[in-house]
Amino acid sequence: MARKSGRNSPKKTIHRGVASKDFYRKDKNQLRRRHKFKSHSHRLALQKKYFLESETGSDSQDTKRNSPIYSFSTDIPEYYQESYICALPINPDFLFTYWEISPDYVAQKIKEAETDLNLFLRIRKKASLENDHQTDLSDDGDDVSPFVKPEEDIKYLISNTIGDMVIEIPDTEDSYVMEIVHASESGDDILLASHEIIDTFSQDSEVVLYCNDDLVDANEYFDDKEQCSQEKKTKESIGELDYKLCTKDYRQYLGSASYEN
Amino acid sequence: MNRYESNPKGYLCLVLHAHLPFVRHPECDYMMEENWLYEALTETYLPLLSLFDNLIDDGVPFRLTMSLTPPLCSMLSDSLLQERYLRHINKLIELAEKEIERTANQPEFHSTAQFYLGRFLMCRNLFENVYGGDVLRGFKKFQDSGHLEIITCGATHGFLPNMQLNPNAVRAQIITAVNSYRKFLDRDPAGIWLPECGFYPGLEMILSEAKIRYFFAETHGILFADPKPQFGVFAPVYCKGAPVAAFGRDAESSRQVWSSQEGYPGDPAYRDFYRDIGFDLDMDYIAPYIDPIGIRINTGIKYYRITNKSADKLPYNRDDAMRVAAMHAGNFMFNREKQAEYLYSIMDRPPIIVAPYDAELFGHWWYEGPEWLNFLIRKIEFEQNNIQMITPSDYLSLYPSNQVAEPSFSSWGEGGYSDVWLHKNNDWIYRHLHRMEERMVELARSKPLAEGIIKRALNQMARELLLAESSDWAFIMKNGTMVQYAVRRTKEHIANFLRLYEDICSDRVDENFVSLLESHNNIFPEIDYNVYR
Repeated sequence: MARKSGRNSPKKTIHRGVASKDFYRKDKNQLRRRHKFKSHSHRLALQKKYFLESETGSDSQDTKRNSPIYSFSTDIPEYYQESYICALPINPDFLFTYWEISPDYVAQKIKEAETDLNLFLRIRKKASLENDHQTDLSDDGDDVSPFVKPEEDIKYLISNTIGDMVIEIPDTEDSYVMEIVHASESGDDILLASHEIIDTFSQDSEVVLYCNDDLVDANEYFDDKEQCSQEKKTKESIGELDYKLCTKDYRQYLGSASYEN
Repeated sequence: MNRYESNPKGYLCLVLHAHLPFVRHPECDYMMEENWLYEALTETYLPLLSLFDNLIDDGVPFRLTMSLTPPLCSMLSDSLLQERYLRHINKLIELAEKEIERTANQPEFHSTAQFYLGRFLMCRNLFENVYGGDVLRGFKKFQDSGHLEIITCGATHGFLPNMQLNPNAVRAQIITAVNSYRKFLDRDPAGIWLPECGFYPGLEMILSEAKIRYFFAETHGILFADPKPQFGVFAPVYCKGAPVAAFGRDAESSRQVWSSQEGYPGDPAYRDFYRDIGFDLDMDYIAPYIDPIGIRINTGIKYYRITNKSADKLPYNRDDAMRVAAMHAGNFMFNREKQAEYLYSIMDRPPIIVAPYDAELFGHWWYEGPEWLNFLIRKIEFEQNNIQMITPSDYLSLYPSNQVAEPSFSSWGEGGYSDVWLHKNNDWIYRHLHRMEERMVELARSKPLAEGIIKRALNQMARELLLAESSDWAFIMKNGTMVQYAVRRTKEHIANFLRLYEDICSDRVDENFVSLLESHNNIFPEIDYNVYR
């Protein structure tokens, strides 16, 4: 897999249950900085830093001309005292994920599990309908969601309750659930946060020369799409398109909009 | 008369995407970043309006598609920025007059100095006397006369694929943009330029809600559509999920203009962007025309042509550059003719060749761009019969039968997906943006009937969120120039938003703070926070 330019190099591979997966991690200083908790804060503590001209005293004319007469705070929180994990596709090969587990929540879970904190980022592949999947059961015995076998889950050991990571997508065109779990000594995973199913996509380079799909008339389509879909207007075959000439090699044009003189 | 009655072999859909981030600093007498707008006015927007006027005066028909983003419309209509632009252009005229004196004994530069003075005087006349400071009126005039099809964009050019976790946030970007379009252009937009051409499957549902009938997608967004479109990017497809048409960018015509290696703008005869007298001349001389604190900046007066890649540059010759621009326009037209001829022979209709560009490429980065466009439009009208200019709406009217397919996730950024806006230099912003979006939806739902200062605070929260979402900040952070400003703007909007949120939650809204924000970040004065419900 070609490495994406500009990203940090892969530093460490931690896995359980499946073949190793490369991943990229933010630099340690950044993670450490983000990891600091403000113990006193339930809500976000934002400084009221703006001030009006009348409050600035007697600046000279020159200073006034080139300096702002008021400014806004740029202090933003490092964390939100919430538990969440989010994931976004970067491209067909990589996902960006970030998470935060609130310290109160972590403390409660550790207390319940009676072990040290043992955090993992878990990636669960959602089974397709054809797959022979097993079903997770929640505490009350209800079906939660179909996943492939747990031994096929991918896990990354994470040392921070706040962090982010770029992850290579195991298989394109599949659906995944991202989770932060605490692995207890008994081997059970305690779910701390999860992100809804994220569908990845393929970068299918195969271009069909001619596809037999019907054409649909705009007037019907825009007026009543649902009805229109039942009344597709078939056109005669137009013969084979030479896509090489029509489109050249699309890959060389990806991102060509980044003009530089 | 039907403007398309001559049955050409293909159609050329030129799309100019005009956008600048919302930069307005009433707290400072001078802010360098405001120059982005002034430079674009002098080098792109006003020359384009002048070009359109000249074409109409000469009886040359044309059909162009332009996206004018809501931040740009807001800035063009802002009285403070209008006043400041007038001050800016007056200073440029003063400088150009001094340059004519200074170059009196330098014939290789003197005619160029005279050209600049003429150009700046034209800009001031157009800006002040013809449009009364409101350049948007000019674009509206050409839309009303049927020469331009103006489309909208995301409210603040937020990169929508990175907002897809929260459909309400995406919806707010689209609905706010449509409302802004109505306010400025007195009609509904037919189409949209998706910010950064960023599309993800499912977005069409929200576009459809906003009554948008078409958008543009990057080449591979159409080529990887499901099912594969039989005409590639040379005919629109109708999205599966909702009644919206998608037009794909033609890679070949894009490359001829965009490419820094093979593209026209890199021709040795064209003006060199980087050799500016703001950096070349003595500080004593140039000081009144650069940043007041002594930072050298581009003034817009440049005397050299690209020449080659070395630092030794030859003087710019306007006439030579015009000859090359005419030649490039002819080359572009010839290639589109050949493209159309071939495609016409294998399609059941004339193809549409969609060629979108950043409007600011024309004039700002590529100084001769507006003239190239001028030559191209005239050549298409008078020198051939194979292709015609068209807009997406007109093409859909002429050829309403199209394939149904779902375009794939794509953007026109480097790499073709989200790599530019999810980069190690900017990915920190999303933790905050997503939390803000959640909080905005939460308050919009819990306080749908807010009045008075709470309502004002909620509306301002919506503005701060939209401004923080602008893709420009992430783009700048990734590219590494002006990073400090982009980071500051992002953090300011986040901090402003979170403070308002805290104040509303604790029932302690500071009216002075809200008023200050309303006067400072005054984009979308009519916004209703309920757009997030």
